[in-house]
Amino acid sequence: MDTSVRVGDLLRLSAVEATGLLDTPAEEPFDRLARLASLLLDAPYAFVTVVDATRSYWKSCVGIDATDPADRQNPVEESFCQYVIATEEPLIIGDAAADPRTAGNPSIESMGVAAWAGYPLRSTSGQVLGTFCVVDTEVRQWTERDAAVLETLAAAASGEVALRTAVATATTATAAARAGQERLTFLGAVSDLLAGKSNAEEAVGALAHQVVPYLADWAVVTVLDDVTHERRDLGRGHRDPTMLAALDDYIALHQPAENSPIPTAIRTGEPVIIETVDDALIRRSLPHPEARAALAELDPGSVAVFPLRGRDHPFGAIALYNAAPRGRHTAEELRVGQEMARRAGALLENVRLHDQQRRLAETLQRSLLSSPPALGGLDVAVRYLPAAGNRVGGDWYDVYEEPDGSTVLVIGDVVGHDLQAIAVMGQLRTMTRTIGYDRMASPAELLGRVDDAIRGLAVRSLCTAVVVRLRAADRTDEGIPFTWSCAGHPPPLLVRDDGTAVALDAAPELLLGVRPDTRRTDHNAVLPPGATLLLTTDGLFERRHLAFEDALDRLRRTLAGLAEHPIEDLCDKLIADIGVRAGEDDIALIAVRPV
Amino acid sequence: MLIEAGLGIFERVQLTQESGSGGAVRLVVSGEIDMSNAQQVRDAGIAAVTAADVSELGVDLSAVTFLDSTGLGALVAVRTAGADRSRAVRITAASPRVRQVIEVCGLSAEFGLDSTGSVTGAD
Repeated sequence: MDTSVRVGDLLRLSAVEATGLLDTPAEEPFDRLARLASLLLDAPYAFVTVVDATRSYWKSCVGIDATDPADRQNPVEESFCQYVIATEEPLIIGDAAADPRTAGNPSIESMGVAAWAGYPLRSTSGQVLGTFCVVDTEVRQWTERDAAVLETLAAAASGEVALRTAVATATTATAAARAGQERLTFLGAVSDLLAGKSNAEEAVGALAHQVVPYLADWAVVTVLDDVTHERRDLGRGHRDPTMLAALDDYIALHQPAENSPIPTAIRTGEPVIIETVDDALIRRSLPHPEARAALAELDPGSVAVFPLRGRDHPFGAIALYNAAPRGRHTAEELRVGQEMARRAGALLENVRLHDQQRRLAETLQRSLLSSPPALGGLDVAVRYLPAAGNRVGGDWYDVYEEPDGSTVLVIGDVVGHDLQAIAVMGQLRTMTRTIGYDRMASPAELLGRVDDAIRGLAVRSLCTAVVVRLRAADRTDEGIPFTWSCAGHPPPLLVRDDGTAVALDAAPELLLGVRPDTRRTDHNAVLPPGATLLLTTDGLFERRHLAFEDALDRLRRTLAGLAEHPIEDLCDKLIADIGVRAGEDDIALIAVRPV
Repeated sequence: MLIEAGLGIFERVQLTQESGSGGAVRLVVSGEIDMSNAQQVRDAGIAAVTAADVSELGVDLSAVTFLDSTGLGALVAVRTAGADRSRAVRITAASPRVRQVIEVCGLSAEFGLDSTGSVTGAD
């Protein structure tokens, strides 16, 4: 009989595997049943077997004194169990040598099997796992009672197996669920961690700390520099904080060769998994003896390097090291490591792009916000403070002198917090300066022309602004007369040397970018000796939970206390007192005082 | 009032749209309008004012507790989209806080809000 098909059936084999009984020592519940069979049937041998593709493993073997699992089995083709598995039926053989079904089985000779009787040991799904069987060394006539006893005991043994399998399955499922939960928690934490960072270096540093000890004993994150493309080790973490100094020493010294794991992973974009870090690898990877000595301090056992990549090229790698006692990375660690690197790559790229954009915006803004020129007869101070975090703003100031000696002060705020707002701000600033310089227009005319010109801009933008024009040479005993006009902007503030501070009063006029034909008004006022004229953007005082008038009042009160401070000092104190606490918005500020 | 539709609850802002008789549509906004949700206000307003058979849009801001410049930009964009189709966009009601912001920016007349605080124009 060819029994190999049923014996090798994959469903059957997986059911056998799931029992968790293979190669396990004897256990009393099975031995008790086997002893009972031996006793009740008066047979010298009784077995509980589980049969995999190659052998019959004896979970219980009454009559054979063997405790080593290696001695508690025989090859499947020498077993009688194979016939039960092939037919999925009980097998009762009175004379094994004579019966055509079993004649020629090597066990007849080697183990002295003369008579054999066995019932299938079944899984809950009905697969035949092995047998519950008794063996006699004498030819015998098995009775119906013998068969009935065997059947009952085989069913009991099957029940015992089902119980074991259920427990094993539950344990495995629990472990898998726990590992899955841990994995999800970990990956979620990585995502949260990186999503919360607005700075690439900070994000990378945090990542290296996050992966230990879950994925490795220590980790190093390497990123290519945006400009030079040199490798920079930006983050590291060790499960043992006392080892961080040793890790830092290694990082300072390592200078890895181009064919070592980290550069290779970055170059190829493929993971590099080294199960055993041996001397050959270390010599090849680290040309410098000091680096090799530093690495030895860390007792490396294995390393897995995963590239970090965004949409196109890899821009870095995360290297996960295990110290020798932890051994090579498990399949789970490698799987999670790969997924972590994939997510981290995408998130880090966002952070990097954001970083680049922010730097570009800052550079652009700084280049646009120049220091004011030295002006005869006037003290001028300017300030610009970006908003907190990564947000860029559209606030701007400008101070310039016209050919007739007039000084023009402009403060504006473009709606929006993006590069576009800055670009528009730059265009408006240039436009204002050009129009003003060319035409020497009054503030209201200037605003009107800029409003006209905004139509020509490619983007629809809104902007609030105040323009002030004054000439120190026009000074009288009363002070310096000035003209101002306001397009939807908070009004200028006048701080007198007696400590009174007032917002210049005028009916509000439309902000720029809505209706170019808006009629605009010039207002006249005087800047008395010792007084300070202050132009600012709403970032200085506007607060989410404070009404505009209340906020303005607060600003006025603060200014009153600063009236006699030198002008630079006044700006610093003003910002320190009320400006930067919230940081929701950017702040621009111009202060002017007659000398 | 024929239809009332909840347009959605976004971060810190709620939008509801009501259709009245004669092609007048009312958009009710509540919450805080800032850069995190100005785009939603803008989209909802433009959708409302550009829909077929709409003659004018009234925006009720009485339950808006905060309006920043990006929110203001959204309202102006809605007004511009209406103006392109000769459809008026009016602010029918606004909290004092919001009224102040609109006032300072010189936009009261544009939205049919007079400077004393009462509402002008047809509702």
